[in-house]
Amino acid sequence: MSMIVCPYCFARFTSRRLQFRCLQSPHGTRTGQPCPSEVDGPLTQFLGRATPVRSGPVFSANGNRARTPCPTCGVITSKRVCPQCHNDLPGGYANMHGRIIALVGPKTSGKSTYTTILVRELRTRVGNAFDSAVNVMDDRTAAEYADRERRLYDEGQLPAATAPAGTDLVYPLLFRFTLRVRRFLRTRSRSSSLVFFDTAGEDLETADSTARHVHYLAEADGIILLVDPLQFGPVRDALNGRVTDMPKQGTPPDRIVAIIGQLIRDRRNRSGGSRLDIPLAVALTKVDLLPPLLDEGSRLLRCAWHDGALDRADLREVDDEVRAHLQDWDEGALRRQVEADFSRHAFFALSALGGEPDMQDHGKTTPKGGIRPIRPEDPVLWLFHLFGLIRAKKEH
Amino acid sequence: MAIQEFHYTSAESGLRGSPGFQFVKAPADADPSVLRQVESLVAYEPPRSAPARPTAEDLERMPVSLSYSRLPDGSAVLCNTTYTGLDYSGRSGNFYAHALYLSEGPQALGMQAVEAWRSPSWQHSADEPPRAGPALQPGPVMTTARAQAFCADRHARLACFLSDVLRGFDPGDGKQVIVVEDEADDVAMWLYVACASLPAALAERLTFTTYTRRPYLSPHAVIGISPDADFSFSYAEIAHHYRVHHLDPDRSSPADPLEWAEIAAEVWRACRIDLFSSAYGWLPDPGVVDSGYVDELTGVLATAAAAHGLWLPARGVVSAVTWATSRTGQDAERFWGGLMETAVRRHEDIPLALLGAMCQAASRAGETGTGSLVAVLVSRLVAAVTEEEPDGGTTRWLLARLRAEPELARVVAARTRSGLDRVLSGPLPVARVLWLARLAEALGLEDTLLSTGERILGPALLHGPETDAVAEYLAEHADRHLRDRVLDYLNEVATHEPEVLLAALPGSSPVALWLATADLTGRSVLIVTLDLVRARAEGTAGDNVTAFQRVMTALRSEPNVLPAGAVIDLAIKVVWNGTPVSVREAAELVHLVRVPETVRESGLWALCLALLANSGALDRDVTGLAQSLRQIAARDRSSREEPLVVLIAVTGRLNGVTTLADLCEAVSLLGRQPPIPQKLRVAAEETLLGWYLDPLRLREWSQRLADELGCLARYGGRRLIGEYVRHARERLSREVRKSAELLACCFALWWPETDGGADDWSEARQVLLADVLAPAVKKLGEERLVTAGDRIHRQRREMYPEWRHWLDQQRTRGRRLGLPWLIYKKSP
Repeated sequence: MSMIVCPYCFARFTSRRLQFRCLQSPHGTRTGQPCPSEVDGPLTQFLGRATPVRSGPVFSANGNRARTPCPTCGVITSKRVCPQCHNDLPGGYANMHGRIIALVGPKTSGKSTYTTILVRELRTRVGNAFDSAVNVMDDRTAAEYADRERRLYDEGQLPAATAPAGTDLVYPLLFRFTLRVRRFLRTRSRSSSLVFFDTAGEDLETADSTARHVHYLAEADGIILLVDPLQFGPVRDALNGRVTDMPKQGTPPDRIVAIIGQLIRDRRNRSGGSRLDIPLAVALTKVDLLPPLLDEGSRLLRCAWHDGALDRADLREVDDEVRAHLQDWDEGALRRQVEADFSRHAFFALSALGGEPDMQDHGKTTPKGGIRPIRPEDPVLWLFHLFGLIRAKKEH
Repeated sequence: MAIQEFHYTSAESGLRGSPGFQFVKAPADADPSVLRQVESLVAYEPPRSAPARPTAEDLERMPVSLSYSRLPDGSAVLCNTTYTGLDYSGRSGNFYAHALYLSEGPQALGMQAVEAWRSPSWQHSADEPPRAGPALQPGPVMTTARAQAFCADRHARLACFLSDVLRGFDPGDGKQVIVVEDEADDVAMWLYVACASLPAALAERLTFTTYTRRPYLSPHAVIGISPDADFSFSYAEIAHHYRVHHLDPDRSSPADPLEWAEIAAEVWRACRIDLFSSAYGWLPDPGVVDSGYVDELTGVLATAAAAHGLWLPARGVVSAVTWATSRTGQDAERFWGGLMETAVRRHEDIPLALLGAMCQAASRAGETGTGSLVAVLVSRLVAAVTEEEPDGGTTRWLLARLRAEPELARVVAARTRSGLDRVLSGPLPVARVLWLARLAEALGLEDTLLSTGERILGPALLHGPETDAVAEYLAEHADRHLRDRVLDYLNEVATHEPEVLLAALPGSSPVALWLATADLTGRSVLIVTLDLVRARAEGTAGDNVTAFQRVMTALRSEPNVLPAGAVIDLAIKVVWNGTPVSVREAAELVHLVRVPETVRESGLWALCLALLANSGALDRDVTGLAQSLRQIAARDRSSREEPLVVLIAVTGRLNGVTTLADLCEAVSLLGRQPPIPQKLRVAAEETLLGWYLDPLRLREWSQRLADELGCLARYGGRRLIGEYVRHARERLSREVRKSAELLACCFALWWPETDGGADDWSEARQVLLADVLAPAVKKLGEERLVTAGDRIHRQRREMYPEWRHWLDQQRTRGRRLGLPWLIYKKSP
């Protein structure tokens, strides 16, 4: 029996309390008739709908079991739902520890692009290094991720702008992260579910919209804050003319950190002066644009070689270097805000595309030289290490 | 303001002040909550199959999302969202939503929401200049002609779609309708058709979106999606959660069309969508759409369609008639004319009871020209009478109408005669025949009924539960010829089965009352029978024999008198009516009739024989009847005497005047064991042997006794002689031991050999002497034996020596046999 957090409504409950939904199969029923649909009140409430949502009957049974017969029709079902919101949980979700990772950042910081590339890297290069596997857990994620990956890698199209949560419900992307662990003489697989929330930049611009639409931050096990360095004045000045598509300045990153910190404190009923123990990974994106501002041979421009374990020394040096640059770019405002609000934090630098998007008539496309991500996995691996999913190299 | 406009897109600047998705235009005084509600309704995602780098033409072809939403406070939001591709920063995924917030509800639009499809009033980018004129103009696409062409193309799915839309209003069981089309224009057309088919009040409540990629999140009642939408088309979703309409039938929900929808589809097929508004004109807002409202909707639409001559499925015709019939005096009058024509044309689809109710309702409504409908009703009633009972209310009304309108009756009669003839020639329950008879009478077709007189009405008058109804009908309505047929039938019954008639004629029954007033001339048997019934009811009929004489007198006085035997037989049946004739009554009847031939022909002879056979005892009445019959038989030289009659007549009255011939005949009959009942035979034997062995008679010393015994010896046979011996042992053994005279008489009777006697008798007399008389010798004593010897010497001197000899034999027989006793006597 394990504690589960619903990835949709964030209710916490033991796996035994999981409920089942009847499949309403027409075959093999006890009565010869499939169960009729019912108005699902909790699901209707979750979706915020005036019109009722109809679905298969939900019934209680021992949630630890993978499958159980419907008490009405007798057909065996394996579809388990959250007892709170009645959303269908992916198969296997109840049997592994879930980790919710919130991905936040201002508009145009590249969150959607980063998410797509990160998963691709975890599945391929990083997976190879850690002997791990990452795969989607539910149909919704599969369709969404496949669409994004196809458009990005096959068609060279950057992901569409993420619509604000105010226009539509934000569903998480659910992945299963499986790692082969060698302990004593045995090799075992350890799985953990990863729940990524991709947030629209618009939702983080004000405290009001953040509180209304990004409330899952308070339930996250780790937060990755993507910071567009082009939002800093000195960087914009230094790169003026070199960057074809200079974004408008939006909400300052330290303001976003403050908003997030206050939201989490409010949700967790914490005092204003307390530091939060949620790990916060602050990652500078688009680092491929920064060589003019970096030292020659900067670690920020080369990928780390983890080789089955997290290279903490490398990350520490990256952290130091980013802190130093931030001191120059915003006089340490972001660093100080992070240190003030989060007890566990680290600074990273990455580039999802590895180059500046190509601007065509029909929109932005992937760089002409192809997608060559720089350190996209570092924030996630740091979080994985804190979660205890991967080990770190010993430092000498 | 009743209408507020909002524009939402991803822009570099807008009302929020920073780049990104936001409202770019909105009223300055817009409520923030309204902004949030509108924002939640504008989302757009292009289809997954959309090209990654859409050209301008591609963008034109992107599905447009026209969504219409109702908010809990009664306000509505109509939003037109188009995909614009790139946003200000060159990223794809941008859309432009132009929303109208209708704070006071959709009435402010002045048209159906779906008519705003492709409206020129919609803005598709923030760069377009503001329009002048009204807030919203109807689009050019939504025309009746296009809708009709669309329905003709999708007719197979139309009824199912409309059904699901209407069911969607059911708060308890309504499901969202998902329409899968390649083009959002087709979804919009579906919606246009649905809104045009529904009452305006419902159409205003029908929320929809012409396109969304994520139908699971759509709150609308009708959701348009493209085939590649995020919808899994699982069995549970198709069969249970939603009502899915896909071009591929395998991906559609099972069809379950409502009758209303089938009618609506026919209205579309007939290109008469004006009928929708015409039909729904007076319908109020239903509030809750329940089955009652759906029935109402079905009825009124069916009525309007039928009244305008549209072809409808059978149940649609029924619904129309049902609806119109139940609303006489309300708004249904405007449909009556056309509806009646349709009813005449499609009458076979309308249940008979409903057709009747419709006729009545139309008449009540003062409709003229109901004659054709009445004619159809009569034809249907006549044709159906073999299978179902006509409705009482309808038939009463119909008969009254036909009687009141002779011209109508004449027209209907011409169309009904053959059908009436046909059904009346077959078997029918009486109640239905009566109804048909009344109908025929009302139509002036009485001649068709004549065959039913003796075949149905006559028997029904005598049997069954409809007797009173038939009598009442005959008394009040029936045609004279029909009555004659029935009376003839009754006379026949009275002649051949009078008991049947009598059973049906208790004095105060409707049948009797009708017959009392009917003209019975020439039906003599019926008259006599009724007269007897009446006399009995009045208590003047006397006993049965008296009544018999009365009936006989009456029957013989009728001009068409029956043969004598038949008259007697009939009289017996009439008088006794199934009750048994007693032996005494039978004897009296025989005396009354006298004539042997008549007695035999009438069945009286057989009746008497049966009575004798069943009598069992030879009492006075039985013997008297047998003697009467014997006298009748004696006069009838042509016939042979019945053994039964002879035996009873002789043995029942044995006395001194009984001739030796009769006695011999009786003995002979018993000796031959005639085929007469055992009980009667035993009684006769008992009587006969009692006569033979009567001690008083035995003491008479008459020659007659010897003659009688000779008769027994010659004709009695072994069995009867054996019985004689047995009776003699039982009756005389004790008497003989007490009476020397009886001993002497018996010896004189039994000792001599009888002339012509059989060997059986020789053996019997030896047994009688040994077993009856010999024991008495030892008991009587010497003195009384001497007395007996003197008696024999005096009466039969010639037998005295034999007596002495026999007596000595009896005296010595014991000694010879009693050797032990002898030894005892001689011993010292």
